[in-house]
Amino acid sequence: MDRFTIVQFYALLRREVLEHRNLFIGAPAVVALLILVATSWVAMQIDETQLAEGLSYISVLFDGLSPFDMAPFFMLLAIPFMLTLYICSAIYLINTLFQDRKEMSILFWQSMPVSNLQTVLSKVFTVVIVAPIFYVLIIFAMYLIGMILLTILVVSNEVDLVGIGWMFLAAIASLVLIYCSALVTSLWLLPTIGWLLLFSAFAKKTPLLWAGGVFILVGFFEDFIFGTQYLANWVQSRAANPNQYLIFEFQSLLERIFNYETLFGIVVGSVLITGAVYMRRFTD
Amino acid sequence: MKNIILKNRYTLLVVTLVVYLGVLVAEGAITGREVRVFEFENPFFDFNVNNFEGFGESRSDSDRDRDRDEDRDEASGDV
Repeated sequence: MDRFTIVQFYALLRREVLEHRNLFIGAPAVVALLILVATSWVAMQIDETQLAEGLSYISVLFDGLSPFDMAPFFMLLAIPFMLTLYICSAIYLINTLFQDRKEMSILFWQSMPVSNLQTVLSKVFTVVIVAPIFYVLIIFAMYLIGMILLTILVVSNEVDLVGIGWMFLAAIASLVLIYCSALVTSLWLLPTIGWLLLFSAFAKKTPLLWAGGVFILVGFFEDFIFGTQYLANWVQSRAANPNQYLIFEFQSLLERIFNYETLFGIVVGSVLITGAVYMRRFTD
Repeated sequence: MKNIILKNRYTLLVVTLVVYLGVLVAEGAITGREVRVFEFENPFFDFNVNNFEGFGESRSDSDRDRDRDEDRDEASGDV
């Protein structure tokens, strides 16, 4: 891969982020703001002596313990962000190629020295690699503001500061877990990403309706033609249990990526993404 | 072959979905995935998509039963 291709791809990724700032930066920023406001409001409602007791309990709880062992505690705080990421990614994927055709910018991009493969891959990379980075950065900013507020509270209530420092380290370690979880989830759900992109490239109107309707039809046809429900079984087995893709400990990271189910999902997702790449040649 | 697949968006979609479904069914059959997930039980009549003739017969039976019930109601004076 030469330097020009890398610069090209970087430009495509940058374009995606700039065009969808609301989904990748605005949405998590709003969630972070809501969490901070809600937490501050709750803290103001608590009696000062009870607040001091709570702070000293937290300080003792985290004091001296490995941040990597305590990091999973902070995964709970990341749940609203993960949900926002999934919803925003789905909205982005179903609209992105459809919007290109709707506003005819596809003609401009096809006149540029950029292939359909590069364009579609840039959209997959945006969801899998780039979007989680922004989410993690915003969570980090939220932790930082939260820690500053907590430090002020701790100092004003004369509680030991060392435990709060350990807690901050655990929060930082949890950011790695959150990013890895988002990455593994995207790989795990690559068939869904491919499916949404395929119908985003295909539909002339209402791509979401096409994606949902055809999914039900394909399941029905499988039952009708083959007398099996492998599709329903497969989807159920991949969507039902979040423990399959959420990571709570660093040791299980490689195991989660390099297992049969994930790799097979990548193969199936690749089939659908290939379909989306070829579908992009129909610009009408 | 390539010309047929890439003739228009619909042929490409159908081919992509056929490949997708083929890969899933083949993998399911090879790895011994559970064949049935949902069993749709209908309390009103038996509907088996693999047996349309049987469905027609069962509909005829249920129609006959309904006609017989209506005749009995009319004979007894209930409307």
